[in-house]
Amino acid sequence: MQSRYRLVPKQSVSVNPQTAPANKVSPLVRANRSRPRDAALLDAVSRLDTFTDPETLYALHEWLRERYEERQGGNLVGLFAACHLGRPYVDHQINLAGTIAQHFTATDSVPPDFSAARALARSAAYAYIEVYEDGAVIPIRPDGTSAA
Amino acid sequence: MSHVSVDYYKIGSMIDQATSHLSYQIEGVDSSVGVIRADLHSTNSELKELRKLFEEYVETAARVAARQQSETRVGNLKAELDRQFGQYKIVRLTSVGMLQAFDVGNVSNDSVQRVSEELMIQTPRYWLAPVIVALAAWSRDNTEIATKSIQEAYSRDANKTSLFFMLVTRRQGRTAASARWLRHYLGSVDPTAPGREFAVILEATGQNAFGPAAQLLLSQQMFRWCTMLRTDDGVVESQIKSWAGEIGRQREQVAEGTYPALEAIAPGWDWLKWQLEQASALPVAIDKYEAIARAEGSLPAALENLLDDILDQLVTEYDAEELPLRRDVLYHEAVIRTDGDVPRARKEADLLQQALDETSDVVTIQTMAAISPDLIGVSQQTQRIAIGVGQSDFVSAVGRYCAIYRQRAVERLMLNLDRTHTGYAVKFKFPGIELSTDVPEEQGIQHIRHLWESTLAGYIDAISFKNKWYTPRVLIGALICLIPMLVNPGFGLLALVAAAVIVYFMGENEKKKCSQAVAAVEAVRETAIGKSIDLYRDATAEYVDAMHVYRLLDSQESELIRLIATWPTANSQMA
Repeated sequence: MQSRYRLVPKQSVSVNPQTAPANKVSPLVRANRSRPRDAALLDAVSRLDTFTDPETLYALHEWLRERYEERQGGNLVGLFAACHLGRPYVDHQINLAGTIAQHFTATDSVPPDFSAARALARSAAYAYIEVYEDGAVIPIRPDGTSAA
Repeated sequence: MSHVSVDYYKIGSMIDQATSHLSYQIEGVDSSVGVIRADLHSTNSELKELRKLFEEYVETAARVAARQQSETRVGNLKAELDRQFGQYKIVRLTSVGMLQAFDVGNVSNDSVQRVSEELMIQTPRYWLAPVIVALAAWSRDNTEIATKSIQEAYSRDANKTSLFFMLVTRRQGRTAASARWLRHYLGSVDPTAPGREFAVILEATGQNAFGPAAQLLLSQQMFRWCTMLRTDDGVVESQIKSWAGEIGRQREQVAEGTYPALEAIAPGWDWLKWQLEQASALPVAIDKYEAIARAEGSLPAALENLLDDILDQLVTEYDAEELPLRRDVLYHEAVIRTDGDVPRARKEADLLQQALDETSDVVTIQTMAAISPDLIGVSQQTQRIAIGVGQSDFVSAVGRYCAIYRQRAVERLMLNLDRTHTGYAVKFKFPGIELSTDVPEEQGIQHIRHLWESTLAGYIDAISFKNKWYTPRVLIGALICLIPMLVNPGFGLLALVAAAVIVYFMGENEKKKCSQAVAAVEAVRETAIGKSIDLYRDATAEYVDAMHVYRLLDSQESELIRLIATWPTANSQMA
């Protein structure tokens, strides 16, 4: 029988494991990572590329860094998100250790740590992607919940 | 000086003779060697055959010996079991008989007391013996003996004794007492391996079989256990994996022929198809779990039977002391069954043993109750509760499941109209063109048309009539006419005229053929181009359609999460 999407029930029942491997982090860090990000944090990340003034940008970076330190979810390599600057830029990387926001065009290659995040950032289902030093790549939904 | 004459001819013939004799002899030796080789070969194969037969014999002998040994051993082991634990069997039968007698009410208290006390004396260490003494004392209202016996049984096996009394008091409709026994039972359960019966107790409590107090008690205990076990990352991961697998099982598949043009010309179609199928699990999962959330819990008719089955199993199953002997019996029975094939028997026995030993922790039992209630025999009501308990794992699994296919989601497809994409492309030697779905359709069509135009122009050019066709024929005609020209110039001139006329007519004929061929190409020009453009148009339309369906399916993640987050029986595990 065809469903409303013109797909039919699958014949085979074999299922590949669909989960990412578990990263070795402490239960506390894991729990902190799974807590939802608040609206202010999401808003700040989404507005990062609208500021050009270096001082405001610096202040925003500082504020973000403090919020993430308060969350105690482990050390971030950076954040990755779709870019709203428009063509030719498609996405950007936010490095919280410095104050760099680097924009990439579709043909640019991103640093190796961010390649998995880039693929995820293309999906409209995520507001942005967190990349941690331990290798964890955590997509954040627009409502602030973690999708990993 | 004497003259020595040498007859070379003779010597030569002698040497010839000797050579032919020698070669005859060599041939003889050769044939003898051949015979020996054949003999050796046959001896060798006979030896091999013999060796095979011998090995078969040895193997059969070993198997027969193993089988005989096992037969003897099974007999001995059973005798040993009977000698050591034969009394246990009688106690088991008596306990079942006693419960039945209580149900019917046709046996006097005296005989129950006598039998139970005898068994108590005859079977030291066995937990069931004081249990039946307690039952007998209970039936005649002797509190003192009942208490003493229960204490003794409890000290022998706390878990089984409390489970037994919990089930028996429930059978008698004494819910308060059975709830108390449930507390004892829970106290003796190891949450990492609660045993097979735990799922049914979970189910029965969920169905209020032991009263509301027991329900509360069990849910509190479950929460404590889960909190404790969930500090282990491995346990949590394994639940998330089970849930992700459950979502994966809801996948549908794209029916063959739904996207024919993409199947034909998009080499990356399989990826898009994969991602569509992955995302298709979401609405199916929503439908499935929405139905479960909405379902009115009904009392399963078989619950009473299930509880009685546990009681039955409890009193008839082997005791821990008997297990080593029972395991040996299992192995030797496997040897007999496999006709002495020891390695196979070992494997079979191990498998059986594994099935008997299989234990899951309470968190895993909860997840199993949520995902495959039929497998562990719980009802939809228990499933709903279990889904509520596993809420956070389910949500995590949805997030990961979607992240995995989104990470591999295709951004665009390349549409490849290759040299063989239509019959015309093959015929007119279309060079092939690859277009991304990012290219606007009109632009793509223009590219295809241009390429076709130039392909056809080249083809037409190749088949059109060219004046150079005349050159070789005129030369040949002139050469042929040269000979008569030399003989007789008048005749030669005539021949030249004839040759010119022939070449002219042949040329006209060829021109006609060529223009017919060109006309044939012109006749199919638009059809050929149109076919390719249609295929391209179909593919882009199908791509747009497939992406639309994908986005529709993919967007259901939030709906599925909302469904889980607002699960009717959820507790406070969600962060």
